[in-house]
Amino acid sequence: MSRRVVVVSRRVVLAALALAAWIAGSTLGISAPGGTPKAAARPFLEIGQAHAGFAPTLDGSKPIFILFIGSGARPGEDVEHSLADSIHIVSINPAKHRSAILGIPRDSWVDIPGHGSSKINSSMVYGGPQLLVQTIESLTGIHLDYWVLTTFWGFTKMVNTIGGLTVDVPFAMHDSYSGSDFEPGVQVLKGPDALAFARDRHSLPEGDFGRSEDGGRLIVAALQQFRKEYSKDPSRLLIWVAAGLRNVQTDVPFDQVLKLAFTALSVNPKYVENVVAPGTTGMVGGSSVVNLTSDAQTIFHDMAGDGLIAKKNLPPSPNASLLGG
Amino acid sequence: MLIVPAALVALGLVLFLVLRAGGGGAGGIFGGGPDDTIPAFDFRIAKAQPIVVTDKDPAQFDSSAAQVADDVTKTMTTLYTEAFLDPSNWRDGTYDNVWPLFDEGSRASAQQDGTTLTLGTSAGDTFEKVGRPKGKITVKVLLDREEKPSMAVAIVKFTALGTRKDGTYTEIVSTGQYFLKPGDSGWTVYAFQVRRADHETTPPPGPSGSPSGASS
Repeated sequence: MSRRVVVVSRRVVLAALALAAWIAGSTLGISAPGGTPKAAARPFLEIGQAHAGFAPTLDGSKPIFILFIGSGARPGEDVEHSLADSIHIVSINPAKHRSAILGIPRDSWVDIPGHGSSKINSSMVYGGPQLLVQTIESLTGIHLDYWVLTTFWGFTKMVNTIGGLTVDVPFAMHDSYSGSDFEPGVQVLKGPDALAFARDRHSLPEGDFGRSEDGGRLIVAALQQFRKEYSKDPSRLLIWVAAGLRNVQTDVPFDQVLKLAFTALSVNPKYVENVVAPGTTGMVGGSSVVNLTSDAQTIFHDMAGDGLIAKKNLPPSPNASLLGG
Repeated sequence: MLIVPAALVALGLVLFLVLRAGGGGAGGIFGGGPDDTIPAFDFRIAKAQPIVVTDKDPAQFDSSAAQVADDVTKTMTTLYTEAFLDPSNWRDGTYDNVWPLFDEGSRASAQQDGTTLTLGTSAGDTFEKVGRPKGKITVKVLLDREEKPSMAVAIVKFTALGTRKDGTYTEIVSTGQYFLKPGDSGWTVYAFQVRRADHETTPPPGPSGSPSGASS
């Protein structure tokens, strides 16, 4: 082999090596040690922002009905056997992600199983939340799945624990009895103010009917705030659940509470109907009572089906004159 | 005459493999094939917080919450190791050991969200190596009326450095909250809200100038 052939071969091989290294580097995006890596080839998989989420909810095949009761008990009194101060049926239709709140005036004159006719709020005195449930089931034809009972002080603590409730106060409310003193507008109500908002009936032309609607308004506000806080920090769910359970009595099993909380998150507050069973006021034995009208019966029947109230059956707001409606 | 070119081609191959190994890719002639080492990883517990449904002082349950945090952290460490760090999983895009960590109710959704909850089915086509995992976890523990831990929320932030086959680097970022419940086989995921925010990054300095696995 001549010296010339060896030199030529060496040059060819060096060139081939350089070419091979360049091709390898370019194709695989590899650089020599210490070199700056380049995005010679774009990745096959590009993950930017991505989101994954799952929350267990109750089965969507049937509506859920929960009775929310505000006990009128004062500290030291038997909470479960005092007059019911506020009564709301809250339904959730999981399949439709919708809900309805139906307030029942506490002075409604109804049949109480085993106790004849009386104001509905007295049924709790006779037989606790269980008898109130039975009374309302008998009145409405709605099967109530659970009941939740709170007190004035429990409600106050609950609201304080979650840091206050953001409420869009719809009209001015000034009432020395309840302590309400609000101008209209969105505001954060601490526990005592939220309670005053819920209890005020003297500022309202329809008295207890309007008050019952305002109770529903607070439930909607709570749902709105719960969803908002959960979307920012899902662990807030534990705070809400704990705040609730610490300040209520209920027959909802603990495990079901969590599922209900997740299910509530699926309900858009915009699609929550908040109504009060219509009635006329009258007197029985010197006592002011509410006689529920046939429109109330229509609402009960409607709601018993899918938990929702058809538009045609929605009664006018008892606060309509203040709302400009 | 053929011996010289053949030797030179072999030399070229050696050079290629040396360059490949030096460029931060896994394997190479000195690595003995793809590096299947699982980077050491444990979430660092930032906080364990008890949440009670009674009127008792939550501080009374600090030790109980700490114990739950340890158990929950084990589940989450396993989850993230299997989902992002074990090369035998991400190279072929199967994560069979991840899904049993989700309970029956959430498993199907987790699998549907696999692209976010794991490195993804095509990660093996993209990444040469994943290392330098770091993770921080805060655990909130809900105790029921009997003061038993009934649910925990694990708030996690996980990052790792992915070395792509094209020589670039990706910071893998997973943040989220996992709701877990206790069961016979430990704490399993019941609900979750998780985000991925992966982004291209420059190679951080490593012990040998290339990324390497490191524990948090």
